[in-house]
Amino acid sequence: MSAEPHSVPRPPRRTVAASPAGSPAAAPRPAAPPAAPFPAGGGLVSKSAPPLRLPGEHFAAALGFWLLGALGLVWAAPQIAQGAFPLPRVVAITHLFTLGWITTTIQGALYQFLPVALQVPVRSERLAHLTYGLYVPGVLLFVGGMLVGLHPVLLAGAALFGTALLLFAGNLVATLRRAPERNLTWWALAAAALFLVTTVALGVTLAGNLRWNYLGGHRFLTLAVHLHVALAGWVMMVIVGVAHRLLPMFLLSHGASDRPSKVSLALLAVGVVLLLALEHAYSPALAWTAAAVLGAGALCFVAQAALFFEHRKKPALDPGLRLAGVAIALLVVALVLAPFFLAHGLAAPRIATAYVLTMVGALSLFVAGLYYKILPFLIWYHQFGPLVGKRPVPRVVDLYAARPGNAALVLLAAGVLGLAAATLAGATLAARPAAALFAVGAVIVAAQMFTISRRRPE
Amino acid sequence: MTSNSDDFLRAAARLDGVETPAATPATSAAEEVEIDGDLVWEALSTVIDPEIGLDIVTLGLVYEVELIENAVRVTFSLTTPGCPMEEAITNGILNALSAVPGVENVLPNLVWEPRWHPGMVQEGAW
Repeated sequence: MSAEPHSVPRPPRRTVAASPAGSPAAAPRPAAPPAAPFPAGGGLVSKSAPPLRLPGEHFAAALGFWLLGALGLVWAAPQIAQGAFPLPRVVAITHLFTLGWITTTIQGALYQFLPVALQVPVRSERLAHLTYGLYVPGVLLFVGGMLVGLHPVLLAGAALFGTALLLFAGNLVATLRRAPERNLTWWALAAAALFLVTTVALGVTLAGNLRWNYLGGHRFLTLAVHLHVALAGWVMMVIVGVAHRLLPMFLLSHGASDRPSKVSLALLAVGVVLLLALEHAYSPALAWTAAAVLGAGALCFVAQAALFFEHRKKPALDPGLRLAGVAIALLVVALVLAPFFLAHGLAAPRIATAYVLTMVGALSLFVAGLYYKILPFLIWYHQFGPLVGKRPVPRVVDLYAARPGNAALVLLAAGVLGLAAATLAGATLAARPAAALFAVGAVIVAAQMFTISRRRPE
Repeated sequence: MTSNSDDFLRAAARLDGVETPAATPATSAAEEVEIDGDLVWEALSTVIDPEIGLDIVTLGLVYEVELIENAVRVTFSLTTPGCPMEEAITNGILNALSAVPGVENVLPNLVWEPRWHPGMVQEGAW
């Protein structure tokens, strides 16, 4: 506990004998709570939360993908710095982050978060476990097949994880249908489920094209649309919806308007629809419009996050919140690169690669920040929660050392920025050290999560 | 110790004159034990919100403590209507107050009005 017992204001001594006749003795509260609008808050555990195993298995797999992706980044750094984004190894590593790290984490986190945000548990825990059982091998087969050039393996993997994602989306939609209230988080998750299915459809189209090449010269446009529907329509949409609930709670933010979240949600949805229209009727004007709308949506999210940080009552930031803050700053860097990517397209592959790297890096770091919040909390809840009131218990932040977490943050951010800079400059020699920084940071995060998962009361 | 609203209501009814102490023999023994309100608040301040890192009293989550004979009713809220920590904090209140001399019944009374907000945290908490 951070507060000393004597720092708590004490009410006057009251006993039954001293109470007014005929009425209970009331020991008054320290300060009368004024009626005020409740801030957009959230939590991580509710009565209907699933057993620890469900999110736990997702987090364990995601951390494995995170480490594989970080090592892959070191391996492929020179090719990345050359802007060789269509290379199978670069595509495979990208998917280790997007499918393996980000999407696996989102699935596990949502199973935990849904009961809190929507007041309903996930529709089917059994289906969630089945989804996991299909998804993880699917991603491994897909990435492995791509790395070794075995198309049947790649396609089998895509079929597995594609099926899993459709099942997940169905489970999510079934959960949303039972929610008693349709708040901003509800709409964000509903849109995210829709765009996840769209992402899968585009991904399957691209995977099949690797074997049968039916897209021809259209494939790069489809690739760009697939990537942006995934990042803006699926990942960003979830982040906007979840952050709208969790950031104010973690920051103890009070009094911040949530209008930017609403605008962000609307703009991202419209932008993704414009992107999909682009797939069928490309025009530069439409491409710029879609990009502008998506960029504005992302900036609104940045503004919302800045508002929450600005209105926070909790002065100290833990590694998780610092990571989230740095991730949002990286998102701004990606948005600065976006117009250059759009202007030059395939004529400047290093710009395209640096842009995607920064965008995926930003979202990956945001997810890493989430780990520092959700995993310690879950371990605390299950291991230390029953001891509350019986004996002193640690705080969530006491379950790990902040210094390695902060060091990881610096390494991860330096890695993403360094690799992006090396890519923009075409400096292949500088790329691998930058990727190594990222990898060391990733190892620290994974090691801390492993240590946290082993914490038990003494 | 029990957490039974009926116990509490019976105790309140006795104080309101609905039921005389003489009608329940156990009451006279209970009245001999004096519950120290300060100790109740101190006990409540051992219950922490683990994420925020502050106890529920400092957070302003405890709205009222009422003492009736050997019963304590704690009216409190949580940081969100989504019930995070509801079970842990409720059990924490029961656990903490069970150690206070004289307390035999505890009634945790979770309310959502007025809704808690970070402005209720005591000044200088950090």
